[in-house]
This record gives sequence, C-alpha cells and structure tokens, in this order.
Amino acid sequence: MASRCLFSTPTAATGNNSVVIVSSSPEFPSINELISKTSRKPALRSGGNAAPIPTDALNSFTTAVNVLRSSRVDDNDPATEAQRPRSSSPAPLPPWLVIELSPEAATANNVPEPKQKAPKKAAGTRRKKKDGLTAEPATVDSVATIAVPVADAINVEKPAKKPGAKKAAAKATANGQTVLPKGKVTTPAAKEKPSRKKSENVGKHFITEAPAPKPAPKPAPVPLEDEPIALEQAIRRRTSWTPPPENFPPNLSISPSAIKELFSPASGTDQSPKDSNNNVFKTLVDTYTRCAEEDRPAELPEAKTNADVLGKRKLTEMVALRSDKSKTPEASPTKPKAPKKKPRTITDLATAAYRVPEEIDASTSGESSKQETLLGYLGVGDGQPGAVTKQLGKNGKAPKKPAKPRASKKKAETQKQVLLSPKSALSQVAKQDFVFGTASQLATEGDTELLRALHEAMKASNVPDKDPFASSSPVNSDLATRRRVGNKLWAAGARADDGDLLDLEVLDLTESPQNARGQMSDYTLPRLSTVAEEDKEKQAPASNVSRIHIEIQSSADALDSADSVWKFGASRSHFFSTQGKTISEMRQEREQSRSDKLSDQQPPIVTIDLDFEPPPSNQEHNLLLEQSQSSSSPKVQAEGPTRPKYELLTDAQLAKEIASYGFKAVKKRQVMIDLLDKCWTSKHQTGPKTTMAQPLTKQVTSESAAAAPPPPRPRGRPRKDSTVAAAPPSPRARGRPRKDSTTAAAPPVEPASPAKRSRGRARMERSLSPPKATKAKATAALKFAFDPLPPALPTVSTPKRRQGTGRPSAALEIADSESDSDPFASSPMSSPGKLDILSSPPDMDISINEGDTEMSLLDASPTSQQKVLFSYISKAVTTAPRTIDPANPSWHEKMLMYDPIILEDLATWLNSGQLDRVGYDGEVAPVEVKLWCESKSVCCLWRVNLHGKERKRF
Amino acid sequence: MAIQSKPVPALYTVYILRSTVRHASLYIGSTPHPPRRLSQHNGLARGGAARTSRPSLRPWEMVGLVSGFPSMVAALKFEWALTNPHLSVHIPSDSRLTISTQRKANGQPRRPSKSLSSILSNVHLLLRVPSFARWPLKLHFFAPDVYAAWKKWCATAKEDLRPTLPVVTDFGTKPLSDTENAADSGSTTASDSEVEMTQPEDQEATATPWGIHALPLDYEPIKEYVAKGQAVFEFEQEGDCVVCQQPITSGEGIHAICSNNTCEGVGHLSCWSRHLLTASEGTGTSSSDNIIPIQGECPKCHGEVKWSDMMKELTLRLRGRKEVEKLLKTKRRKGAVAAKTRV
Repeated sequence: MASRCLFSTPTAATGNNSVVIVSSSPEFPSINELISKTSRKPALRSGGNAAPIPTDALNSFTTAVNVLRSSRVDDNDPATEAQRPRSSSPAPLPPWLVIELSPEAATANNVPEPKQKAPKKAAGTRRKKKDGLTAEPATVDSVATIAVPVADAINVEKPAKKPGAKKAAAKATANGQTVLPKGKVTTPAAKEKPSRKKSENVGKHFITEAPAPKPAPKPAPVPLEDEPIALEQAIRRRTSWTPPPENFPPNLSISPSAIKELFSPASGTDQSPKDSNNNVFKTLVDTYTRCAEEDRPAELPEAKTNADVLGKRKLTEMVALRSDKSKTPEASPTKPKAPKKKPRTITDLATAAYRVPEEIDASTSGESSKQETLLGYLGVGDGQPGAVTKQLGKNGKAPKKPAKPRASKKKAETQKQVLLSPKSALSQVAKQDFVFGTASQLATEGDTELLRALHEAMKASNVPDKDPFASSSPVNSDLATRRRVGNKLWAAGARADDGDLLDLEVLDLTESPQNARGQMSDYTLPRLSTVAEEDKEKQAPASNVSRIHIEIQSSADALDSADSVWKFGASRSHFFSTQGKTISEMRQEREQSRSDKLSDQQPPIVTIDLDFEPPPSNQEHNLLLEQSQSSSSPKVQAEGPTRPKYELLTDAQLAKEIASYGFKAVKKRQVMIDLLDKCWTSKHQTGPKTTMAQPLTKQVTSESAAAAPPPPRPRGRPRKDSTVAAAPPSPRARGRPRKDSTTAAAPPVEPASPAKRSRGRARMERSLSPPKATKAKATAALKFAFDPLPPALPTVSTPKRRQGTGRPSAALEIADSESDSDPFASSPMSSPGKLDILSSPPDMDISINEGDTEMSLLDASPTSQQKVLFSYISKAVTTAPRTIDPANPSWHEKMLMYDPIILEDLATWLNSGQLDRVGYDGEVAPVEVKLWCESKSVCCLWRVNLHGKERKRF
Repeated sequence: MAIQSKPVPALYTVYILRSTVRHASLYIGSTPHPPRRLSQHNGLARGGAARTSRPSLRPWEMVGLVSGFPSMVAALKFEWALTNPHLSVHIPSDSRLTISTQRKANGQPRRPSKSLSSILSNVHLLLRVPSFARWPLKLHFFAPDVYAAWKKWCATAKEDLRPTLPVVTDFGTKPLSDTENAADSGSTTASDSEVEMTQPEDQEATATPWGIHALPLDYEPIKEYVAKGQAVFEFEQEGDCVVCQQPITSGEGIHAICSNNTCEGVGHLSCWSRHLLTASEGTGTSSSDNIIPIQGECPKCHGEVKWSDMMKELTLRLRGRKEVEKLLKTKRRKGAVAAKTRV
C-alpha cells in the first residue's frame, strides 16, 4: 500500500491533486475508511505518530490522505481555515500551508525569476525554522508525518529521492514540522531575521546528512511507508503550494507522467495491485531521481524537509508581493489553482494562452463543434481527448506521450484560431458587403437604396457560388475559395448602379454570348440589346454563373497588375472547368431564345467584333469555351496538321530544317523547335493570316452557335511546373495570340454556318475534364506559355485594339504588345530582349545562335544544293572589284589577308546585289555564309560574341 | 568593317601542354608567346590556368604546338575545336574521331577524357578539315615520344595532311658537352631525318634556345622582307602587277610583294591569290574552289613564296605601322651605329 501511495503520489504531485486522489484512492482498499477518517483530524496525528512505525503505514497513510482532503475542504471555507490553524496545531497545518503557500506556488509557477531566488531564501528561512524548531522542543511527533509532507510540499520529490534521509529527516521533520504550525500561527515574518544566521549553519548540517542515506527505500518496506505518507501529502501540497522550479524541464515531463499515472492507476488497480506494487517501486526510484534533479537547482535539498514550512511562508510573502502584480487569476489561493499549475515551463507558459481552448475542447467536444473550427469541421477526433485516451491506454511511458499530444494540440489550436472552416470563412466573407469605387463615386452615390439593392443583387448573384463543396470538383480548395471571393469582389466592383456590369465591352465578348451581344447591341444594335436583356431575365438564375465569370474577366482586364491577371487566369480556368457545363447549357438556351428573335444576327455580330474586340482574357475564355465544346472549326484543324511536328524530329533533322530556313545552327533543341515554329508560321502566315483572323470572328459567331473549334491540346500551360512535368519541350511560338493587323483590317465575314453546328455538349463535357489552360494571356505574360499546339494559334488572336485600351503592362504581356505584323512576335521562349531582336530574321539568328557557333548540329559538309550556292558565293566574292582604299579591303581581300570575316556583314553584302550580279537568284543566310567560309578555310565569326556583345578585337 | 583588324600576328600557337611528372595530364591552350605562357603554367608568372595549378603536376612542358595562326580568332577557334573535338562543328560528322558518350548535367555532351593519342589524332584531323586545312599552320613537336605517337597515328590515319603543311621537330640538345650531344644526337637526328621540313635555325640554335624558346615571337624573321616592302611602297616603286601586268597605282588598293629577298615583284592582292591558286594548286583541286592560297611560285622570280609570309608583310605594312616601326627601329640603330663606325 505504501508503495502504491508513493507511486500515486508523485503523479499526484505533478498532476492535479483532485485527480491524484481519485486515482490513488481505488488502489487503497481503505479509501472509504480514509474518507471516513478525513473527518477526524486527530487520527492524523496518530498517523503522524505512526510514521516512524513502518507497520502502521497504512493507517498513517490513510490519515495523511484524510488530512489532505480535509485541508481542501477547509480551503474552500476561509473561515474554517482561519479557525483551524489556531485551534489545533497539527490539523490546521495543512490548511495553513495550503492557504498561504498556494499563492507562492501560483506565483512561482507564473514567475520563474522569483522562484530561484525564492527557494534560496526559503531555504534560509527553513533553516532558521529548523533551528527554531530544533531549539523548540519537538513536542508533537505524531504530527510529524503529516507535518513533513506539508513542509516538504515544495520539495516533495526530495524526500522521496532521499529516502535514506528518512531517519534523520524524520527526526528533523518531526521537530520542524511540529514546530512549524506554531511558528506559522505566531509570526511568519518577524522570526525570519534572527533565525537566518542559525539557519545557515543548520542547513549545511542537514545538507551533509541528507545525501548519504539514499538506498533505504527498497530494502526496507518500513521507510517506504513512512516516506510515502509524507510524499503523498507533500505532493499535494507541493502541487498546491509550490511549483517545481520553472527552470527544470523535468517538470514538464513530470506533469505528463502524472497525467498518465492518473489514468493508469484506475486501470492499473483493476488489473492487479501486485503489478502496481512492482511498478511503484520502479517508479519510486524514478521519482527519486527526478526529485533530485529538481531539487538541485533549488539548492535546498535536505533543509527543505524541516524548514520548508517557514521558508514557504517567506516565499509566500515575497511571492505575494510580486504575485499581486503578475498574478494570474489562476493563482488564487484556493486549490483550483493546482490544475493550472501545470504550465510551469516556459513553453507551457508560452502555450498557456492556447491551451485553454484545448482543455475546453477536451472537456467538452460540443464547444468545438460550435466554434466550427477546422478541426471541428473536419470532425477531427484527434483532438486532445483522443490523445488523452490513448495515453491512458498505454500508460507505459509518462513523459513522452504527453509531449506529443501537446504539440498536436498547439498546432491544432493555432490552426483553429487562424483558419476558419471553408464554410464559415465563406459565410463570413459573404456577410461583408463591399462596394468598389472611388471615394468620390461612393460619396456621390447618395442613394442608399441603390447601394442596398446593389448589395442584394450581389449577394443573390453570389449565392450559387457560396458553397465550396457544391461546386463540381474543386481541385484546389484554396484556389476555389480564392476564386470565389474574387468573384464576389470583382463582381461587385464591376457592377454599375443598376447592377449591370460596368464594362460593356467586356461583357459583349465574354463567354456568355448572349449577354455580350446584348451589351454590344446597346452600342450598335439597340434591338438586340433588348432581346438579350429579355433572355437574361429569363435565364437569370442560370446566367448568374456565366455572368460572374464574365465579370471576373472584365475585372482582370481592368487590372493592370499582372498578378491579378495571373490569378484570374488560373481561377478562371478552374472556374470554367467546374462550371463549363452549365455555361454551355445556358448558352444553348440563349441561342434558342435568340434564334427565335435574331435569326440573322450573325453579320451584325461580326461587325461588332470588329468594332469591339474582346479583351484577350475574354478571348481566352471564348477559346476555352470552344475547347470545351470541342467543336472545331475545320480551318483550324486543317492548319494544325499541316505544320510539321518538329518535336518529333531528331536534332539533325531539326538542324537541317533550320538551315532550310536560312538560319544557322542552334544548339538547343527547344530553341530549334521554337525557331522552326516561328519560321513555319511566318511562312504560312500569308495564307493563315486570314484564317487566323477568321477564327477570331468565328469564335464569336461560333459561340453563339455553341460550336467552337476545340484545339486538340490545351494551348497554354497552366503552370511552369506542370509544363515541365507534362510535356518536355514544346516551345511553340504558336500560343501567342497573334494580332494580325489583318484581323482588324480584313474581318473575315463568316456566315453563321459553322455556328449552327452541333452544340457539342457531350464533347464539351469530355473536354472539360482537363482544366483548360485559360490563362493563356496571363501565362504568356509570365512567359510560361509554351503552346504545345500549333492549331491553337489562330484561336488565340487578340484584337489589336484591345492592346491599346486594356493591355496592362506591355512588358508583362509581350505577346500582346508585340507588333501585329511580326511573325515572330510570339515566341514564349525568348526573352523580351531577344524578341526584339527576333523581329528581323537575321538578328534573331544571331541572338539565338551566337552561342552555338562552334557547335556541330549542322552538317559541316555542304549539300549539293549548297555547293551550287557556294560556287556563286565564291564567284561573287572573288569577282568583286578590288578595293582602292587599302584601309577598306574588299571581302575577298580580307579573306586573303586572313581577316576574320563577320558573317552577317558578308551575308548582307552578298544579299545586297552581289549574288544577283553573279547570277544567283536568291538570298543567302549567314549560316550558309558560315558554311561557305568554313569550307574555304576562311576564318569567320559572328558579329556578336558568346556573351552577346560586339566583338572588340579580332 | 567597323573594327580595324590587326596585322597577322608574328606568332600564335595552340599548344599541347603535358605534365613532366604525370604524362597523362594534358592541357590544350593557345598563346602568342609560348615561353611566357609556359612560365605561367608552371607558376613562374601570374596567370596560369587553374587546371595546371596543381603543384604535384608541375612543371609542365609543351610537347607540341601548332603555330602560324593568322589571327587570334583563328587560334582560338582551333583551340576550341581541339579541346572539344566531340562538339566542334568544323569536324564533319563522318570523320569525327572523338564522340561523346555521356552528357553533362546541363544536357551538353560530356567531353571525353583526353589522351595524347586522342589529341594528336584530333590535331591530325583538324589540320585536314576544310575549316583549317588552308590555314598557314605549322606543326611542332618538342618531345620525341610525342612525335613518335604522331608518326604512329599518321601511319594509321586514313588521309594524309596536305603536303604543304610543315611538321617540324625540335627535341633540343641538352646544353651539355658536345660529346654527349653527339651521343644523344643519334636519336634526334634519326627523328629529324623523318621530318618533312626542318628549321635550319633550330639546328643552329640548339646550343642556346630550343623548343618553344626557339620560336620567333616577333616579326624578326621577316624583318628584311618588311623592310623591303616598306622601301618599295614608300618610294612607290611598285611597278606593274606581276600577274596582270597592269600598272599599280601607289596608295590605291592592296598590293602584295614577293617575299623573296631579291624579288620586288608587286601585284594586286587578288592577282597574287589568283596566280598562286591557279599555278601552284591547280594540280589537285580546281582553283576556283579555293579562296586562300597557301604557297606558290612567284611569277617574277619564280621563287617559292608562302602566302602567310606575304600576308604578314602586307598586313604589317597596311595595319601595323607601329609594329613595323618597332621592327625596323633596331635596324636603323644598327645602321646608325654602322654609319657612325664608318664615319
């Protein structure tokens, strides 16, 4: 029993007193008895007497428990407390201690600094007390058992650790403790000064004594009994009074262990008391060791036992002063403090703020649900309760387990605080009504009704989107939420007073053809607009989605920041992917309705397109729609296949292809492919131009018809990462929206015939599964766009006009800012600087190839065709008139003088009539000139060196 | 051309550096001044390559080099090609000897490790490739074993170097007693006998400098030639073009002069080239195919002329006023001294 008590006690000391009692109680058969005994305080004394006697351990122990309980009870009633100490010295002691010391403990817990100092002082005081005690005849031995624990409350562990000291300690404790009550009652503060001197001497003495007798506990059950009693009491007291020094990490470990033990005893008792006994012994040792650690810092190892009470008093006083300032509500003198004492380490303190909610959660899971925290939302059973239960079950290792749950708790808590569940977050956001506008605008709109109506309309429009989970498939929750919020905000911002979208142009071309047309018709065709309006009204609910989408796009256009564009691009794609189906449906509906009234709208639409070119983003959107619908315009498809798949060619083949275009060898495969793409596009541009323009218009038209050409693959890459992972190198110049002046100039008048084509809804669904890269614009701007698909090219066209107005920053969106006529405008690969260079083929060649002069991708040996050319070059060079100015030799003379030949210059010279002069009809590329030079052992080089700078020396 | 070219350098070389300690350690570099460069590699002067900075490999020696590069650019091209024979575009794919089998982290083909034989074989190859074949290059060997390896490779090579490409050896004679010299001379002479062209200076100068130290670092060898050119053109004594027989207007156009001492044949540059190409090289290849002559016979004195020498002198005369002055300065002094002495 004693052993059990001991075991339970250490845990109790660290953990909550109440819990300890409960847990320990089952172990003791005599608990009931104890409870009954609790009422009798005198019994305690007798128990105290028993302390020296091992055989009576049980009784004594029980008495100690009783005493503690009684003390608690007393604590609750201040009156009783006051009475008891005075009335009866032994019994009152516990209450006293509890009352007075508890503040100390609390303060000590809260304030680490005072502790260190305090213990020393306390030690001093204790020693004094000891002296006083010793000097005073130890009248009450019986009390000793009880008194000892009380006195040791701070050092509870110590006594346990120094079991050997029992005898000496017992004596000392007996004396001191017995005395203590008196001293307390009489003068806590007054005695201190005189006593100090003595105390020091005595303290040393005690110190020397204590360490020596360690081995005791195991060998003799008797000492165990004695000590256990003291320990239990001490633990409780200690918990209530004095926190273990904060500095010690062991405290933390202890506390968790205590928790375990708390639970463990309950289970353990059920299992087998014997085992528990064994465990107790082990634990005893552990506890002792632990105590020693804790005590060391305090530097009050042995002295504590006797003098603790007085020392504590002093501590209490000192602490009280400080505690008043810093005292937390927890520190209240009554016992409830004990549980709060736990967080004594710095980490505990730091996390204390977070802990409270945890505990609450643990205690009441209902609260968590109320809070709708993420955890709650997720239905996390992991919460503390679960962890606790686990701990209970295992019981094995006290320190480790608790640590884990704490960490988890922290995280969970922090998350809780920071993150709301998507639902709640959305709802919160939804509750906020934002009106966007300049201050002046907002101010001028005095009409509150208008604003309210606006808000309502906004809300209404937002309603369908609110539920994040309602959406078909949010790939990325973050994205989804973000997007949604953005929708709302931008939707709000884009709305005019009447709730219509501010940017009519944007509306026109946006994915919802109807709306767009309606708006556009406002400008051009009033009739149409009315019709569109009607349609809108009809489809009001369904159209919300599409409308929102449109709004976003418009806003994106309005934004000058590339980031916004990017975001929207991404979000758009997602949105579209999720919503595409509905949109298509809507579109169908609109078409039908429209078809009734506007059978011949198509031509006007075309004109509209010319006038109002859709913002690139819108176009993209259109593109997406079209893609989703997967109805492809024949022309586009036809184009795609024609272009050779350079990706499939070998390096050598690519090199030859490049050579065929008159460029010199390029090192990198991607660059080669890119270059070839550009060449191909430029080559076929004259034809394709019209086609390209057509797709644009077609898009609009086809949209109305709900038939759009689906590019086989997604044109833009969603992200760079994805691009890398997904498709190795597909540097397509293609992706770039090519703004052909032709589009504006020569609008292809496309009859609606293609439009009538199938809705392609089924296809659309199919195509929807992969999120289309809608962000082509944004991506292009960010240079991420590698367009795998050549066919996509035409579809991407961005109206020139848009650039002027809506283009955010030219720097970002190179493609758009590019000159319309430039065939090479759309090379995602090349840096902006290089793009400029690319404008002219030869320059581009230089820029791209310059690094590769020495690289052998091209066959060094000239082909037969080249040989002919070479002969002409040779002829042209050699037959050129010799120079008259020695400082300005002819090319031939330069070669003869071994001058390094600048290939570009020579090519230019050859192309400037020299080849014609010798009968060669055509032009020569610098690459070919290079080959020629190399075949003739003429030293040649590019104008620019590898670093992209002009050579300064030859 | 915006950038004024320099005269053809007196010497520009691409050299093969080998560690005397560890013969497998090889390095390829280029320099207009091999002795200085060698001292750099050996740590005697600042600027050595990091690759050759390991003390354990020092001292280094130049076991062979290719000289005669008409410009720094040319030398650098050749050096790069020789260093990267697996990449060089100058080497036709079908004749490439060194093929990279691995790739670096950046995707570029990894350079195969070098060995003396690989370097020599690639030198052999590069001297044959069209890009460099007609350059006025000259091959030097300063180590018998290297030259042996070279000969070995030449025996196995499919094609031979163009016959006009000089290959010279200078193994030096240790500055010891004559007897030892004689003893050693057995091997050297044997090797020398195989040399297609031997520099007379080398044998004469064996006592003092040899190898790279015997290389002409300046225009001194053509000093008289330069002086002659200066004199001819300074006093407008060009006369008619030796090729086209048309009068040469001094100061107009570019005119070359025969490199032979006594000959003052001057002709248009293009005329010279055409003549040399047609005359001396018409045998093998069609003259129209080549642009740059290598060497030939002076139409006037019928003496052998080397195009590189003519161009050296020509470019010096046209562009190297400074160099010419420097070159001829000493001469004048000497002359002055002589005059004084006479007086």
